[in-house]
Amino acid sequence: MTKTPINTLNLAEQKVLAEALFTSIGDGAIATDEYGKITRINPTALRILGYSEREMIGAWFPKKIVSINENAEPISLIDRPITRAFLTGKTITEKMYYRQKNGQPVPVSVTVSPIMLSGKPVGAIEVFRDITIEYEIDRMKSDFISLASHQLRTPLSAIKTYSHMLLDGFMGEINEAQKKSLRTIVGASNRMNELISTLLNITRMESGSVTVTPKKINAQALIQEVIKEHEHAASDNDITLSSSTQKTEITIVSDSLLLKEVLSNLVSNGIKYTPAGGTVSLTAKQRKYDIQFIITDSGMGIPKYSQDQIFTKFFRAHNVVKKETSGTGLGLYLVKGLVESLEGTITFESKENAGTTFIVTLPKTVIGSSIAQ
Amino acid sequence: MASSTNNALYIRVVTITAEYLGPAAERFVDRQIENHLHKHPHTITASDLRKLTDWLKLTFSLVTEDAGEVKDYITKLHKAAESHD
Repeated sequence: MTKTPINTLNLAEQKVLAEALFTSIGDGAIATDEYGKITRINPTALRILGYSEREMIGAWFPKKIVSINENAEPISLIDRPITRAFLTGKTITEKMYYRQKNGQPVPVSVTVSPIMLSGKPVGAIEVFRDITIEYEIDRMKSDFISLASHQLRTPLSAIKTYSHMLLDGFMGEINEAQKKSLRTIVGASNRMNELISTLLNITRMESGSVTVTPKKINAQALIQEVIKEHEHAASDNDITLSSSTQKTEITIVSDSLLLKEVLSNLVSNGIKYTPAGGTVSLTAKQRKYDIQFIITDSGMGIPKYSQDQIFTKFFRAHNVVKKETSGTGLGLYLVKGLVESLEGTITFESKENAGTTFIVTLPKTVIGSSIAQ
Repeated sequence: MASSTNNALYIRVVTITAEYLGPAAERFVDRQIENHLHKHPHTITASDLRKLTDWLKLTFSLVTEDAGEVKDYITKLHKAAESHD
């Protein structure tokens, strides 16, 4: 059977074909006109939302498609993906909940784009899918990690305490070979403790239970704390660790623990992936509307082909794997999530074998939300 | 802030928008000038405003259900552009 090329179809046939394509999409699809009225909705969308086509066509999109957050609170009209797609002119993808006709929430992944006709925006097209199963799997995975991490911490504390006591001579004199072995045990248990903390933080972040507690922070003092914590690691690796900030005091209202975790992770990465003789610096810059924390290293850099993946969970660039095989690929994933919890952004510039600069931009005042479930 | 600029057209656009959106007007207008025109909001011209009205209309349509109000808003913006040619 020969196929008819689309460009040989007449207008009516093309319309039928477009309609068939729209109806056949496996995900929910909704189109709106320039006044936000629903002009088309496919059967999958109707099934997910529980409405009939007659109830939806011509209805005002925000009224029928109610977006809610994990606490069942409606998302403001201006913050909804469809509004932001128009505000920015870009495609917006987001996970949220839709309220079905029967009032039940359904988790969805939504992608919205403006519809452009001859360069002019004339409406929006939204595609969404039910992610109930993914949410359930994620929840089970998080529960498992949380439980496993807590269970690991208890025996680890005993290992750490007793190896320190042995090392400090509390159980009697020990020789150099024994000391060396004990230091290895202490180092390994510290690394394991860090890994457990990372896993717990990720579990909290993914379950939406990160609590942001805003308070006034002196950025310079915080930077000094972070530098102090990493001084030993830097000098052990023959790396110059420095900080510089403006002379005037920089104050930020944010969550000090989360912010410190972000900066510590980035400085620690810088030290880990910078060869001996290199430099790592941490600076803060006050701008008109926000504050930037800049972490620069002269390390191995991120290969260009890996740059769009570095915030992905478990991702590790090839050059990094060669240098250190024990990393988890979770650090930057966690950092990005924490920065977003603080209503900020993280960007970077990197050149392989030359170094990397991460820029964390945070609002001067985080609104702060306690979204513990 | 609208008051910190001498650009009469910008002030007019924010004033018109504030009739509908109240204190959210300035941010609403600024974000769209920055995102769609890629320029500082305080430098908007009549020609820019004409290009922007389609976006303003669509976005405003998702904040209010009243199509008449949307039309009214856009008419005022067109008039503002005309008076600043």
